[in-house]
Amino acid sequence: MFRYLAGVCLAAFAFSSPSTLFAQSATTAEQERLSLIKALQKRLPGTGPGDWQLGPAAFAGSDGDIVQSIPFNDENATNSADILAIGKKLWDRKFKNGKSFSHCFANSGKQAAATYPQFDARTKVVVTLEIALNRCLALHGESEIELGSEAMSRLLAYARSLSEGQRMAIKVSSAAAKEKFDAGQALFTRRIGQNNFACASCHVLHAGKPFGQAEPGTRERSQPVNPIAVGQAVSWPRLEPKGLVLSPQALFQRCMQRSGAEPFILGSEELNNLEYFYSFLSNGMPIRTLGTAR
Amino acid sequence: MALVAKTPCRSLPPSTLLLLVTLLWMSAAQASVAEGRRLFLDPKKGNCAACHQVPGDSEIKSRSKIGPPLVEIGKRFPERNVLRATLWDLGTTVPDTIMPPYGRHRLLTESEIDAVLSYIESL
Repeated sequence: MFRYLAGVCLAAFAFSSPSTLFAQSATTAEQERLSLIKALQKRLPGTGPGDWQLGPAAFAGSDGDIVQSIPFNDENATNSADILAIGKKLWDRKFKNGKSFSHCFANSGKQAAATYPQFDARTKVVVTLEIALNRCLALHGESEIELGSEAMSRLLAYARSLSEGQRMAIKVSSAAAKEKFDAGQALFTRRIGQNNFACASCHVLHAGKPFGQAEPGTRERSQPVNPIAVGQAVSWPRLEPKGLVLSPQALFQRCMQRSGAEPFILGSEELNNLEYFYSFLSNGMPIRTLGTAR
Repeated sequence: MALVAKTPCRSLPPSTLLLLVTLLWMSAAQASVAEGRRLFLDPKKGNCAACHQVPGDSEIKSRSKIGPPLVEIGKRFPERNVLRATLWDLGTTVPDTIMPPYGRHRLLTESEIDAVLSYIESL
């Protein structure tokens, strides 16, 4: 807790540059997204959003580096297929009243995921796809699924896969929605924790750069690369080795822990707003569930 | 007087004593470099190779490009205090740095910072 408090207390005056990545005069979420793309293009010359949506794979082989990306290998293809098969079973399960998830979303859920997270004007909160899935369960008298659980990550992956290839289209269409977007952006650029990192430190200021050491047993030149903020959301939830699936907010938590901060809890207003802002940055890019090629 | 005569150091010639002191000092310096290297690599302490390449240490396989490679430290930082301030909190001079403020946020103690400095300077 000390680490988190230290980070938050210090953040008020310690953060400067990442927060100025966004145009000060920008008034709409789209203007701010375009401003960030411009800043990234200056840092990553010769590349653009079309490359960034591929994730680290966009940088494979550049400058003599071999980078780690989500590998398109048999193991991950199998894991990905297994995960989606389990997710489909959960999605298709009939509730006690005979309904199922497909009754809660327009078009039986096809292309729905591309519009999440959404701002709910009635409750004035951001609703992520996971929350929408749980709202569906509650509406039909079913028990909710724990956020961050294996079942939820597989259900989320399948729900996202129903929008495979669909371009992300997150809406920020009111002043109240913009407030949530701004809150997400503020957290994105705020330094936290003992290590004093912000999301923007790695995913904007040092985006696309290799970091860390080669893992034991891997090729010496194998390096992970900092993912780029614009385009990251298309491959959420993220497939990790051994079939582990991490939701967007589980990824946020991991980054916060790496910064030496106590992470916000899954489904908290802070992480919902961050996911809203972060997802909006990938608007116009096609969804690639689990980041694997199929 | 008898007691003093029995003290081993008093019975050694000054040149041998000087050699011993020098050896002890070198041994302590080497220990500091070794401890600095351990802290440099420790993911829960310096974790420095996550961001810096270390061409002078063939066992470190970092190709990271987050921070500059650690070469010619003596030339780049002729004054140790300047290098020390960089580790303590680079943010005071480079506001958008990603380098953790090792001293200000107590990631490393003052003596640990000195040990890391000894290792970096030895490269």
